[in-house]
Amino acid sequence: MVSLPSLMHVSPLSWIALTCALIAALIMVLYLVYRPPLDARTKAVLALGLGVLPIMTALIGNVEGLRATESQAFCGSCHTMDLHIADANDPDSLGLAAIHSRTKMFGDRSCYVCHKDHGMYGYALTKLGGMGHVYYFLSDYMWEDVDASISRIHIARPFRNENCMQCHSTSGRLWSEVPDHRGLLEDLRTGQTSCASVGCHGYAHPFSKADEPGAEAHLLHDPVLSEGP
Amino acid sequence: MRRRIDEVLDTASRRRLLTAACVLGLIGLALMSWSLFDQGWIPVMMAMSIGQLVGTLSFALFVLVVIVDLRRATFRQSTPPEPRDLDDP
Repeated sequence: MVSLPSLMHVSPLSWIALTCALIAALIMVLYLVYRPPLDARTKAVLALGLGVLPIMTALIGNVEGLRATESQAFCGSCHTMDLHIADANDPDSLGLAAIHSRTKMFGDRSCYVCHKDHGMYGYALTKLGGMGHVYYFLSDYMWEDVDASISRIHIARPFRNENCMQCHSTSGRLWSEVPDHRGLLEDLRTGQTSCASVGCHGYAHPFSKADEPGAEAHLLHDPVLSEGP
Repeated sequence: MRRRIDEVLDTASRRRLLTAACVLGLIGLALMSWSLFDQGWIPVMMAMSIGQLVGTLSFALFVLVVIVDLRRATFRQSTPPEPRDLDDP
């Protein structure tokens, strides 16, 4: 059900697409109701209603659709992600996902910003990976309660430090002042040691690894880092 | 195969084709518009797959009507201009 607040968030581009769709629909309905003779004028109007305007709607719809796939709301629209989204938006959570979601740079795109592939073909590869998620959801998790599936959900491949290093360059002064960072510099840069491992910063979504030893342990108890903006 | 295509193009009803194109177009537009408001995975994926497939089919039917029209049209032969005698003042 579309509520009024969600309508208020529709972008100006979407309103253009919707206007095109409404005009095209009006042309088609008028043709179906009045059945005018198929002269050149009718065909020109139909070319607008069946060609130009729907194509504009589709193009803008693609842009908006792809943008939508980057939002937390999109990731959270599968019930299996409910707990992950709740944790990411929990102001009291000290997990990596929650800490990063509190910053404006990640905000309501935090799932995508952290999990996307940052390589040259990253956008396409990320979308392909997303199709994999859809497959797993439809074939396995769809009818399962989130509490039952939480222990089975796992990341497709280990989280790469490369993603963390898009922001944390590993060369800043504050970062280098941490003894563990200095000692593990090469391992961190090559991905031998994961930033999100037990004993370092811990799991990004610690609640989901409650059964694993040390899941709650992470070194982000620094009040400055934990509070966020 | 070619004869079969010719037969379809010669006997196809333009009105039926356009009716089908309009109905499919309305379905496609509805799916695409839905995703502009509700950005969950179902509307977005429906719009970008089924919505666009149905919309493309609708446009293809319109193009088919144009092709049928062109095949049935009788074009008047253009007459070449009268040769002018260049010596004539």
